[in-house]
Amino acid sequence: MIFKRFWSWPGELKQRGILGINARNLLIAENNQRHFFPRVDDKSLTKEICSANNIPVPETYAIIRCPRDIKRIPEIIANKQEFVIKPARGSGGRGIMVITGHENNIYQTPGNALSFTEVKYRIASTLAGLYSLGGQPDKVIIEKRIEPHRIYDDVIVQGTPDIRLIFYHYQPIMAMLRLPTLASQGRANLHQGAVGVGIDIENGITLGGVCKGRETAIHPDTGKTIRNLMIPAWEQIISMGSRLSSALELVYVGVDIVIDRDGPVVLEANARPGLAIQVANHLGLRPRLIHNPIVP
Amino acid sequence: MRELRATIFLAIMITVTAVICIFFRIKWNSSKNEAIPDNIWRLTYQIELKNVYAKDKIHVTLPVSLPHARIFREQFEHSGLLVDIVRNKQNQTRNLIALVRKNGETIDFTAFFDIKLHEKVAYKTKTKITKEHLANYLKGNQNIQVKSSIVKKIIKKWKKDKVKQDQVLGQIIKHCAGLKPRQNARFTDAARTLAKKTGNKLGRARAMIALCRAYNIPARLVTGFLLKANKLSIPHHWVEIYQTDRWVAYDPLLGLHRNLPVFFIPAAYEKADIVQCKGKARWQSSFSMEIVKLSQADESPGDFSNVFDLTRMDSSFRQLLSTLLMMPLGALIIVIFRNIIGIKTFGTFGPVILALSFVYADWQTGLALLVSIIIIGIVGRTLLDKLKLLIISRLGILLTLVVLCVTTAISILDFLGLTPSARAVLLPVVIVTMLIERFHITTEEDGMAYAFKLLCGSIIAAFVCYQVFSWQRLGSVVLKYPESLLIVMALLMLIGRYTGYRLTELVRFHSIEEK
Repeated sequence: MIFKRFWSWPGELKQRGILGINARNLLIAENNQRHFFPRVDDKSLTKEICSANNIPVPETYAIIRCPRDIKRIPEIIANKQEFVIKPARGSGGRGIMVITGHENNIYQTPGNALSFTEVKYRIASTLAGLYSLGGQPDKVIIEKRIEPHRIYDDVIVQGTPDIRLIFYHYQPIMAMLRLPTLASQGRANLHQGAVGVGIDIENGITLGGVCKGRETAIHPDTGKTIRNLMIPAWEQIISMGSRLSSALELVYVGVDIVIDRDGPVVLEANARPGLAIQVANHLGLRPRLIHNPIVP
Repeated sequence: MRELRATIFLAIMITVTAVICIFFRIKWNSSKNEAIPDNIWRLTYQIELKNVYAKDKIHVTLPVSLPHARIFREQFEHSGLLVDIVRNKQNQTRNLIALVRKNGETIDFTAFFDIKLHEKVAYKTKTKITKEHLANYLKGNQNIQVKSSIVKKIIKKWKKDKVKQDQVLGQIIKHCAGLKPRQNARFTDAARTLAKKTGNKLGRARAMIALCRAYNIPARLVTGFLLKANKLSIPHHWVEIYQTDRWVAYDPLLGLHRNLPVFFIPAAYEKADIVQCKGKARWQSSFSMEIVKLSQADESPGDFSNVFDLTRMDSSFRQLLSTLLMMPLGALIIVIFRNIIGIKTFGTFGPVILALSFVYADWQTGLALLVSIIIIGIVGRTLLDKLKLLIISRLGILLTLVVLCVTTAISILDFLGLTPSARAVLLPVVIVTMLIERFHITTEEDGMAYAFKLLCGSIIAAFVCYQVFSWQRLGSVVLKYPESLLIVMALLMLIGRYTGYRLTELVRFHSIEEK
C-alpha cells in the first residue's frame, strides 16, 4: 500500500502562493486601519456608505435599536410578505431570519413556521448581542428579501447564493461564488457545507468548486454542473466592489454581493475575509498581493 | 518590515534583561543562602497520598530538636488519617505513624516545624550506648556492603600504603570527599559508589560508613535537612561516627567534619527516607523551608530589595503568587495552540483558567465533575430554550444550575466515601457556564461537528496547560525567578509576528496543487 501524504510542507504551500491565516492577519493589521473596522462590522453603517456612493444595497425597511421598537414590527412589515431580519453586527450568516410570508401573526421561514412571540424573542436576543462580535448589544436590520437570479435555478435548492470578492488596494484579486446546500441549511457558509466555486476574475466565469473540503464539479443537491456558469453583470459587480472598498478605506477587504432579479446588490463587507476562497479557486492569494511584497 | 525588526530587537532586549536579572538574583540568593543564625525557620513537609486504602500506613520521620536548633512549634494538617507519634529513646528520633481510615482518592498531609536556630552549635553531650547497640553500627547490609570486594581492595591498598590507624579516619574522609559528585546517580549503595568513584550524597555517605565499619569504627547514616533560604528541598545525608563516647558528625559531600554548621537538622538515623508508605497507596513528598518573620526581635522588613524576593512571603501567599505567575505560561500555550498549531478553542483564556482549577483539585475529581456538569448544563440549556428567555437571564440560570451541580456532586462523592478534594469546588463555574452557552449556540449555528471540534480543542489546550501548571518544580522556579516571565513575554512578541503557516493549514491547503 502506497502511503499518500495528506499534508503539504510549508515550502510547498509558499511555492503555490498560499496565504496563511497568520500572514493574512499581519496583512490586515498593517494595512487596514482599526478605526475603519466599524464600517464593515456594522451592516447598517456599511449600507449607509453604499447609499452615499450610489452602490445598490437591499432596501432597508427598518432598523430596530431597542426592545421597545419590536412592537412596531407588524406595522413596518404590514404590506410586505417577504423580508429578512438580521443582526447588524453578526457574521457568518448567523442570526439571519428569512421570512417568506406571514399571516395572522405566523411567520413562515424556509424550514419553519414561527409565531410572532418567537420572532420577538429572536430579535430581543439579537439586540442583547447573541450574534454580535464580542457579544455586544446590537441592532436588527429588517430589509428586502433577495430573489436569486435565474442563472442559479439549477444550482440552488434553498437560500441565496452570494459572490465573495476580495479587494486589495481597491482592485479585485480573487472571487468565489458560494452556493447554499441542504447541508448548510440554506446558508452560504462553507463551514456548514455550502459549495465554494472559484470565479475567473477576468471574465466572471465559474471554475470548479469545493464542498466540505472536497473538489466537486456539480452541486451536491441538484447534481447540476457548477462549472462555466457566467456570472451576470460581472463588470458591474467588480465596479461596485471596487468603489465600496475605496469608500470603506480598507486596503484588504472582502465584499459579498448577491444578484437579485433586478441586478447585483451589496450584502455586506468583511474586514477579515476567510481564506477558503483559495481552496475554491485552487489558487493562492500571495502572487496577487503585488502591492505589498512584505508578506513573507 | 520595520515593525518586525523592532519586535525582534525588543524581544532580544527583554530576554537579555531577563537573563541579567536572573544572574543577579542567583548571586544575591547565594549570598543569603546559608541559614542565618538566631532566626526562626519553618520546615514544611508536604505529602500527597493517592488511591489510598484503609489501613495503609505511612511512617514520617520528624526532625530532631537540638539545643542549637530547637523546634518550638509544630503543626500537622491532614484529614482521613489516624496519627500517633512514637519516640525512640535511644537516638531521640520521632516517628509519626499515620493510618488511613478508609478507602479514598487523595489525602494531603502537611507538617510545619518552626525551628529557632542559635548562632553556635551546642557541643554534643556524651551518649552512652551498649555494646549490643554499638554492634549495629559495625554491621554491613545490602546498601552498606562492609565485606564487598571494593572495600577490601581499598583497605588492602591503604595497608600497602602504610596508612596508620590514627590516620585512617582522615584517609576515609579524604577518599569519600574526593569521589566525583553525581546528583542523579541511579545507585546509592556503598559498593557501587566506591567502585565507580562517583555518587550522590546518599551513596557517598554509605561509602564512608562502609569504610568506617570495615575498620571497626562505628558509624551511622543521618538523614536530615540543610536549612537554606528559599529552597524546595530534598533530604540531605551525612555520617556520624562514634568517637570518645559521643557521636561526631561528618559530611563527606561538603567536606565538613566535627561540628557541622547550625543549619544541619537531623531527622532519621540509619534510614535514607523521611517518608515510607506501607500499603497500596501511591505517594509523593516534598519539603520546603523558609525564614519566618521574627515575631519579637526584629519586625523590620529589612532591605527594600526584599520586595523582589517573592519567596519571603508566607506559604499561602506564595501559593497564590505561584498561580498568578503561571498564567502567562498558559497564555503562551494558548497562543502556540492557535497561531502555530491552528487549534481553535472556546474562548481565548478559558482553557487556562480551567486548567488552573484542576491543579488545585485532583484532576480525576475535577474531570469527572466537569464532564457531568457540561452534560447536565447542555441538557438544561436545551430545556431553557423552550422558555424563550433573554440571554442574560438564561446565563444567570445556567450559572445557578452549574453551582448546584458542583455542590451536589461534591456532596455525593463525599457520601460515597470517595473523599473528593475540597478544592474541586474551585472549578471555575463562570467559565463552565459560558462554555455551555457557547457550545449550545455553536451547535445551533455551525453544527454539532464544529462545536465538538472547538470543545475538543478547548479540552486539549486545558490538558496541556494542566500538565505545565502541575509541574511543581516549574512553579517554584517561576516564583523564585519571576523575571523569567520576561522571556515568556519575548516569546509572545515573536509569535505575534509569526506569519508562517499553522500546522492545520498544511492539511487544509494540501488540495491546492501547484500550477
